[in-house]
Amino acid sequence: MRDSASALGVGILHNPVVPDLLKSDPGMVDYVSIMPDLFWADGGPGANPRFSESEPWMEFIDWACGRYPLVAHSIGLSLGSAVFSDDAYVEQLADWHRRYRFLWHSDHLSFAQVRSASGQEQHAGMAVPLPLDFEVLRLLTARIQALRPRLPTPFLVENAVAYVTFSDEEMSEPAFLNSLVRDSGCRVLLDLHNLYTNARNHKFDASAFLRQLDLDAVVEVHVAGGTEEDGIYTDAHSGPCPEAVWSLLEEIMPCTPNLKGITFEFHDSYFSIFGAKDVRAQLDRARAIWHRHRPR
Amino acid sequence: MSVTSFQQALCDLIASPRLCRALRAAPEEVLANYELSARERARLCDVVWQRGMSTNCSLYRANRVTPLYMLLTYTCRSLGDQFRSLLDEFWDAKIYRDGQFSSEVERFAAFLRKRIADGIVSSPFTAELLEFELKLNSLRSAPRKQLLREVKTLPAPGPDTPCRIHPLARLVRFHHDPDALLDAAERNVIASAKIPRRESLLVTPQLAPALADAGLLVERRNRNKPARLFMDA
Repeated sequence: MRDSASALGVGILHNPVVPDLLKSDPGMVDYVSIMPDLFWADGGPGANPRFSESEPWMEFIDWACGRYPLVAHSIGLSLGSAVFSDDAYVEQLADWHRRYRFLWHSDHLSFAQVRSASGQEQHAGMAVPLPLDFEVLRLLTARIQALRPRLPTPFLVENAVAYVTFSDEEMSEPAFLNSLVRDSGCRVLLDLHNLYTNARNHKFDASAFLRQLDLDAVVEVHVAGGTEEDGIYTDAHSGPCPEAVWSLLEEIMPCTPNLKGITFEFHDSYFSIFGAKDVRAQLDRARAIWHRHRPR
Repeated sequence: MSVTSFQQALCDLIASPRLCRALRAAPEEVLANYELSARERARLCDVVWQRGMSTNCSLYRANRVTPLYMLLTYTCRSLGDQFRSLLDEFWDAKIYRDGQFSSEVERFAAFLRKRIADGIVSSPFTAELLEFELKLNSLRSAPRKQLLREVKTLPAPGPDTPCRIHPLARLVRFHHDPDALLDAAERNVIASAKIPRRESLLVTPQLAPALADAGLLVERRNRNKPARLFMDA
């Protein structure tokens, strides 16, 4: 089944070096993915003002929203937290949707925030993967169902990178994602580099994973590069995509009728070794694949 | 309750390689602090033996040290060999409530000020570098255009108008020669540097014209660096 919104093409996830890249080469992307959380300092619940927007960063988003379609990729919803709610944060995201007309919103299949027995908030310091059990599925479903009416666009959940596995899980990851899509009404941001990382570290077949996933639900794809450290391959966003990630992208393109965009991610700290030409080459390669499967 | 407790335990383990080792050695003792199902206990006992758990612990530490090293570079450098043990102590305090760079830096600054006051920090330079970098950060994140608009709307000062600093200016008091101190910090040799004592104020550019008019300014130029403006205190 094909969704009605039009396809975008190839995009880039914003980081501090992206504004200069886009200003010098505006045609390198068709859209920009924004992590709204990075554009403001959050004083935390009760702070007044709670969110202080960063002036130089705001100049970029104000510049970009007149030139590119924008999509939102938040990192603060902590969808999988057993106990967590932050209405003011959701309202801030909703306000940004009104201001910048993001075409969709995504966050991660993980948790980052926990509340201790004494009621104190604690941050996990990273996106922590979830055990794929029915209890967690119900928790996520309820949270996404509550969230969707507040954000006026399709809501996407990104498959997580997981350096550890949990024994005795009740569902496979594709089955978990398929159920989440069916039960909560969310869509999928398929991060092929996360999948590649997990498959490489935990020695499973990424193509088999894709064959089990409901690819109709995939609206956005992330591609990126990583680094091997101490026998573990990490999702470091440190450079070019591995060939295997491009192959996975080629595999899914004919089976993703609702795919709207392929987003390339890299971390700005690697920009001194992975420069503008390299970024452009990755985007061009993604665009070539896009056009091969989505002829204009 | 069980899922909450499982997530809490997992976070505690990711934050502490020591706790991971303790769980390997004495699972019953460590997990007694959490309300867990048998399956959750088994998962945690298994997870701490996986190679990926040390990746998680490293990621946690990298993610927490990044804002500190990025926004308090000179301060961190001044701590030298003490940096690592102070970080461990800071992280053990479990006061990581959100992933915000600014609040993490504020929490570390509060922690460090206390350690300095307690005489635990051995570097004589940390205190002034910390205050310098905090003020620099507050300038960087200040809503510049908005503040300048507000300043423009202020009435002209009269003879009784209290003296106040421009909202885009900061004064930093130094007890050591700031030029030598900041150069040593820049070159990452601050931990072993010998810097002469000297009381002075570092002046941010917005204040410079007024102080220059009053003959209070000392300007020093390095060949490859912009001038820094000092006022002898």
